[in-house]
Amino acid sequence: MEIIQIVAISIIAVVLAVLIRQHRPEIALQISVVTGLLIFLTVIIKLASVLEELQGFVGRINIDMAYISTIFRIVGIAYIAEFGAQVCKDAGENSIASKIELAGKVIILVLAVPILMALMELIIQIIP
Amino acid sequence: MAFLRDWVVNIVITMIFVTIVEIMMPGGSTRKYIGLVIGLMVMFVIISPFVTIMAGDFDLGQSVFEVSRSIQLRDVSLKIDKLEQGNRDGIVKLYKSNLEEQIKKDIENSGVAGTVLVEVEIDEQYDNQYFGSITGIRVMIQRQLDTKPSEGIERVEKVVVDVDTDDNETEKKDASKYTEITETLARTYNVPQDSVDIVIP
Repeated sequence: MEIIQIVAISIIAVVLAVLIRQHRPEIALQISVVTGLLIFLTVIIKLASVLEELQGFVGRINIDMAYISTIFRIVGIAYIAEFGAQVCKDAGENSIASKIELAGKVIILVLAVPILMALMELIIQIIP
Repeated sequence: MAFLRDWVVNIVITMIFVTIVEIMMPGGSTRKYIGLVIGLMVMFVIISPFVTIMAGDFDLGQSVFEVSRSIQLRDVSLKIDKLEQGNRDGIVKLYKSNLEEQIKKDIENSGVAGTVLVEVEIDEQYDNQYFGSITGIRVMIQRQLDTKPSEGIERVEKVVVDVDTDDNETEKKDASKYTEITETLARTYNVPQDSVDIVIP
């Protein structure tokens, strides 16, 4: 049961962070970042296998795989941006967190625009 | 009938896929952006039979690839422009500093006593045919005072200001020397004499 491991690590990290924060707040932040990274890495490996399975499942429908991989890429970017923003918010740097979110949005938009344009072109073609 | 069956299966699989992706989506402000792309996918799956009938062999993947390639090309060309601009700025900076160093040496070799500071203005418009030509030279000469390093605090002597003293001779000498420098600089660097400015603070 990995969830037990994850929760145990998190609780230990929280106790350590709370104890240390009064004396060394910078170490508390580092504990929080490392714990976050550990959990993120543990979960992301599982997510990768789920995505692979899903890709095989979606392969049955008559749609371009470039489209599906773009969606997966966008989900990945969203996860990474969200993780970075949360770490910055934990450190009290809300301004940097919002910039990371902005960067994530822009990169997602860059990936989404070709699909949007292609679909618009298609709709224009099928309208008589 | 098989065509209708395929269409319904496609829609069902897409909806299941969309539901799973929505579960996986991280909560936050990026959620609605992912929603946009998923919505486009659902739209494409729903209209796909009409596409086959009306647009024939429309290749969505090819179209997406072309648009993304054009975006990437624009991105690369912007990066190249930025690099070229950086290179040009570096070249101009180095050229100006070398010129200033050269002019400083020329002035010091002509026998001027004091600290010489030189500022050179050049044409920095890259597209201009006179790019790099000197448009102005500004020389600042700080005269050295005859002071010796003192030990401890010296007693301040009484200062007498004599306005009637005639310093005309020295001034004339200096003026002729500066005129000579101006002429030499103008001739060497092919600049009009009006553009060479010598300042003595």
